[in-house]
Amino acid sequence: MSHFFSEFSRGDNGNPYKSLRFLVVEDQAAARQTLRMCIQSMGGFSVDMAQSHGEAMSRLRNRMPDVIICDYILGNSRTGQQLLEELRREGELPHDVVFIMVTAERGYEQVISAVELVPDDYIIKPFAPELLRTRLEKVIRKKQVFSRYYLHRNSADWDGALEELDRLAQSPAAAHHRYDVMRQRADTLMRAERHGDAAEAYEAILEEHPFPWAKAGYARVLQRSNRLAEARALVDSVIAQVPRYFEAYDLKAEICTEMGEHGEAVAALQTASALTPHNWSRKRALAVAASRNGDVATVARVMAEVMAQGDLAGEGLEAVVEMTRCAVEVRNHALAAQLLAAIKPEQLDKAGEEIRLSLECLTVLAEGSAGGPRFDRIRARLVKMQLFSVDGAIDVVRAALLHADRQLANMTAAKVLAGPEARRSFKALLAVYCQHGLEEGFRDLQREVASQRLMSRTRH
Amino acid sequence: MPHQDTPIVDVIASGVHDTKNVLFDALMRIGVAAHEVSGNRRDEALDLLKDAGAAVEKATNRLSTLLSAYRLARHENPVVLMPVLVGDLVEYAALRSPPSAQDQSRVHVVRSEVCPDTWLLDRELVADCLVNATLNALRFAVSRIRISAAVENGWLVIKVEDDGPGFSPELTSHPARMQSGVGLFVARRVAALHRQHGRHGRLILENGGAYGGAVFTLMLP
Repeated sequence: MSHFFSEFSRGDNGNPYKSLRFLVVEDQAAARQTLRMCIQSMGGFSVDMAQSHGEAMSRLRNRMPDVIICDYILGNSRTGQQLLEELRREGELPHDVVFIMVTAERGYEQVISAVELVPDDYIIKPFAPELLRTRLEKVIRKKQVFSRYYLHRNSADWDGALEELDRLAQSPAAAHHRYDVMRQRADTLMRAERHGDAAEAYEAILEEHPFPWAKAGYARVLQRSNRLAEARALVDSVIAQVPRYFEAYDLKAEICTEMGEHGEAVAALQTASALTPHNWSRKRALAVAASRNGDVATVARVMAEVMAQGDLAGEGLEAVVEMTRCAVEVRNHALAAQLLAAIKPEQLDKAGEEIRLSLECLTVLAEGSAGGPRFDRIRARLVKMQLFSVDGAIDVVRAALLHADRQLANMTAAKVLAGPEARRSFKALLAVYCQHGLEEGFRDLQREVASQRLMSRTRH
Repeated sequence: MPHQDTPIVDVIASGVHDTKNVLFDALMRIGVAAHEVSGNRRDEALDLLKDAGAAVEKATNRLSTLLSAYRLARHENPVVLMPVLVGDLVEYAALRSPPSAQDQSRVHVVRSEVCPDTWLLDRELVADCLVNATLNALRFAVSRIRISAAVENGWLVIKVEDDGPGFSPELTSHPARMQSGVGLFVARRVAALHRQHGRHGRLILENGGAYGGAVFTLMLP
């Protein structure tokens, strides 16, 4: 655990704040200065400042502070909540770093009561320095109570984490944090893929109160247990309860995609994206969903917005693969080639075989008829490759059909159709076969897979 | 209640007027304090600054109460239930209702041992109500105020009691018609919007209690 907990307890000549490194994130200069004075009046010494989402990110990546005091409104349509969610989702915010949201908007409480990724606490402006001190102290004490749990959780030791939560549930020191214990327990059970237990844990929370985050958590458990219709109904009720709970729309899109209802997935992402215009990962998800739905116009429009934002260098190879796939989908081969050319060799070195093969297939597709030699070069690797994601498999089918290799296309498509994601991929595969005038062939393949599945069932 | 929105507009306007006066008071004290500092009368200046701080807290609270009243009058439901430690809530309300130097010399505020439970409530709105009740008690108490919280028969019961002259008979006998102030309007609505397991909260105004004066009670399910 971080050094500062122990130092905080021990104190530094009676001033526990002197050794803490603070970061103030606030777009208004005057408010930034006020917050800095407030921290200094509490005894804080090291106060760094950032005036935007981007500046905060770079400062945090450069050097992680002990305490982040972040305003909810960050300008340029960005919010502190987005910053927090990005940090938590990417695992960039260590559990021992304090994140306190400051907001003048009481509406923020609606958000914080709903969402899954929450700050350690929030303070409504205006407030006296004494209040910040009190809140900070309580957050640090709470982090001390949960420190052993975080240690297990950070090393993905779910059993250890659950044991510690059981201990905390019995401990008088944690009696104040009963709901936190319940919430962490449900979340940990889900991470441990103990879906039955996680469902029970969420049910127990929901019996006490219909917290939107608990409903969303429960919906996620249902999704992972392949109870998709129930998951979707539940997530719809969450959205109706808290229309500003944007992650719920993402979850709905995921569920609809798995159900093969791509139009619904597009609609959910479009709604959320319109309300969070600077959330680029959601925009990318929208482009992907629209491409699955065969909605070329939407893909082109969203892609243009994503590309106008700048290059994808900082986004990881998966994002590049996704966007290249979309570019191929809308037949913008020049854009696909541009995206592929921007990939750095060191990024490729770190990538797994599956991503590399997806990129090769996308290159073949971007090259069009000139891609024949490349396709011939990678064919053996494609045959050998066992674990294709649905999207990766569709890339292979596309590339194979483009070069009239029906054997490889059928082999790959059959694998997907026989797998758990058949429903999700059916429409997309059919579209690819249709493009090559092979609808009948695809129907035959589908029948063959179905009868094989039936035979294997009777045999068992 | 018919015609509810019309009178609440007047109530809000009078609240804005009061708040302006409070801010004026704070401004005066800050000005005088600056003068005293230049004249080397530091202790007097410190007292004035402390009072100015208390006045600004009071104005801030009134403004947020006015905004809540506005939202409630528009039939919005601003109440968000979250788990809150009752002890923290009472401490928070106390931090936001600091007595002025003058009040402090006259009135002794006791926070009784509060229950250690976590309760599902709206921290900000319930704190606003308690701050209003405390500031009101500070105006009327002769020498004592007690703030307490306990769980009774499955309800969270939070009380602010004083030894002043008590609420007027009209307030205690016809609470539904009571619109004498923004604070009480908001407190009653906020209590009612705390709904759990088919029950909703309520505000009780009575006289008597531990000190024989006004008793402000919020009961939350």
